[in-house]
Amino acid sequence: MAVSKYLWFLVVSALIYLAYRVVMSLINRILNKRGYPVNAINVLKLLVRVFTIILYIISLLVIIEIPEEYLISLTSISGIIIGFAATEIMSQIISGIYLISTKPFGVNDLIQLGDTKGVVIEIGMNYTVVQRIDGTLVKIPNKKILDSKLKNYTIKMKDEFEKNNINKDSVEEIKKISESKEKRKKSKISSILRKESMNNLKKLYKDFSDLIFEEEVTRYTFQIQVLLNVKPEIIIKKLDTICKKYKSIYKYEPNYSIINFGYRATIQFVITSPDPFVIVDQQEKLINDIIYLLYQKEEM
Amino acid sequence: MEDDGFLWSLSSFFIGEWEIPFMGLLILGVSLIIIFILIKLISKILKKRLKLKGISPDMYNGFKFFLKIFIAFGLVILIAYLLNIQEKYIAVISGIVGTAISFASMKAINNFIAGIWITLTTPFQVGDYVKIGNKEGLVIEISLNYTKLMYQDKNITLIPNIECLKSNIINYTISTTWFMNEIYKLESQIEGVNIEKINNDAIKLNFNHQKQKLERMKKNYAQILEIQKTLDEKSLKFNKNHSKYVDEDRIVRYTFNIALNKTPKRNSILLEEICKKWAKEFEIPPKFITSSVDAFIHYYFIIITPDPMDIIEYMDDFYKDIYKKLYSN
Repeated sequence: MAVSKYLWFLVVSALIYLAYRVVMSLINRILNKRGYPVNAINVLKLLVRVFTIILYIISLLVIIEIPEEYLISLTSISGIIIGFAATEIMSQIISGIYLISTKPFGVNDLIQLGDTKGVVIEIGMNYTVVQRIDGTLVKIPNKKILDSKLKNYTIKMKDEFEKNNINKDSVEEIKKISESKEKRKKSKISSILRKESMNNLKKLYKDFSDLIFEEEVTRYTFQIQVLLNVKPEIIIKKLDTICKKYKSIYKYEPNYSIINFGYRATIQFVITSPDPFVIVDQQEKLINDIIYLLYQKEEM
Repeated sequence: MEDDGFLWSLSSFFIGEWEIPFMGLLILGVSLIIIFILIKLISKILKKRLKLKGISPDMYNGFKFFLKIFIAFGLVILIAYLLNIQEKYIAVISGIVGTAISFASMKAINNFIAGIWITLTTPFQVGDYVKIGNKEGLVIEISLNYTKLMYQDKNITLIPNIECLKSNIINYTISTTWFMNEIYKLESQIEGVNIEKINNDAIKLNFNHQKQKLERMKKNYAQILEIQKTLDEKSLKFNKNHSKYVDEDRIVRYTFNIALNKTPKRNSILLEEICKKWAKEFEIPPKFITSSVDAFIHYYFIIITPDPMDIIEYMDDFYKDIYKKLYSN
């Protein structure tokens, strides 16, 4: 009995060694051909090595027949160690799954995460890739997304209607009215809606009747500060001209409101557009226009 | 264990229910002395051998450390066996010690596994210019425990891999082949599709997004193609000394923010002058773009260069130039 056991052990270990060799050569061939980085290949090899060592140890344990108590304590120790060690990565992956299933944001949404603003390019298992307004790609770990403040500028119109207590039938009616060639569309639309919700929507969006056809709308806000030594009428006039100029680009007219006074006036711009990428692309030009208009006089 | 042989049956004494064999105690004492002598001997021989072979003392210390741990484990098992400790106590003690050890080694092993994870998923490679959390620099080495970064002040810092896993990563280095592939993919998706024939709104929107994405990529990275050309031409002559981190496949697109005082016209004129001046060092003139206005006007610069060492070498001079140009007078 004993001799046959050791024979078995020899056979098994030879098999393990063979399998190890085959896997190693496969890794070398396939990964080198595809041009993977060297350190990634090395780590894979290391993993394979560790795995084969574990296999050897298991086969040895079977042969020697150590008492069960030792076996249990050994496995419990190693199990606890591995379990704790994998917590970081497991939580990373699980938060990725959580993100994908709850969908706080989707691909191509304009979002703000902590202090990075940008368009979501990819939602992966470990990282979410966001393209900042300056074009740099930022990889944000999924676990960090769950911990940090999230602002999604891209809104689904369905949710917006639900928030304002507008049911599906009235949406359909509004669509019909605005498609038809009747006169006095606006008054008819407002007769359908409740007063509160109409006011609410008017505050958020200037021309609401067109927006009803969109599925998604991005409503981006940013702030600028203006010195108080210029006459307010002039500044408001200038900002109005800018808003009108950008209506054709964004499809909807940008809006602005003064939100704070102090040493300077803080003005908040609200840009509404069906396409978040247009907003990102035009941001530089818009800010340039605003700056040049505001400081024209000082240049002279 | 009493049946093992005559040694065990000689004599033993009891503490409560616990039977301790005299012989076991004796053997334990003797083996302790032998092990002690053995350790001394082995470490002496090792020291001599390693010195002869010219291996550093770090290696020797590490070896000694592991040897000691190994022997400690052996001793515990020996004591448990020779002093006839009951098996349930062994299980209990090993459970306690096991949890203690595993809690203690959690961080180290976490770091190790994070290292494996990072090398397998490759968010960055050696030779990339990256920003990890708020530390930015050139990646010099990725080991299983640490990532080595060279800062702009040329200090080399070790960042634990677990921190790399937890924090935001910006990789300023762009792979040109990846980039060309992406453009090719987008082009092949758009080709042969007639927009007017599509009825589904969602597909139409998606198509438009793809198209815009392609345009943006071409626009955003038009300089990459340019730099690729200059690189190809330079490789024939090689008149500028590049560092070893230059690679055909790699281009660094580095961005940073500055805040300047008012009067945008003066700013833009002066900044453009600086950009022209620096075209020689970076192969392509840097670009600047206004990003926001508050008490200051915020600009961000985009520097494109094939060599990540350029950023480490020249950034302080670049800042100095901006400072001199804009605030002299």
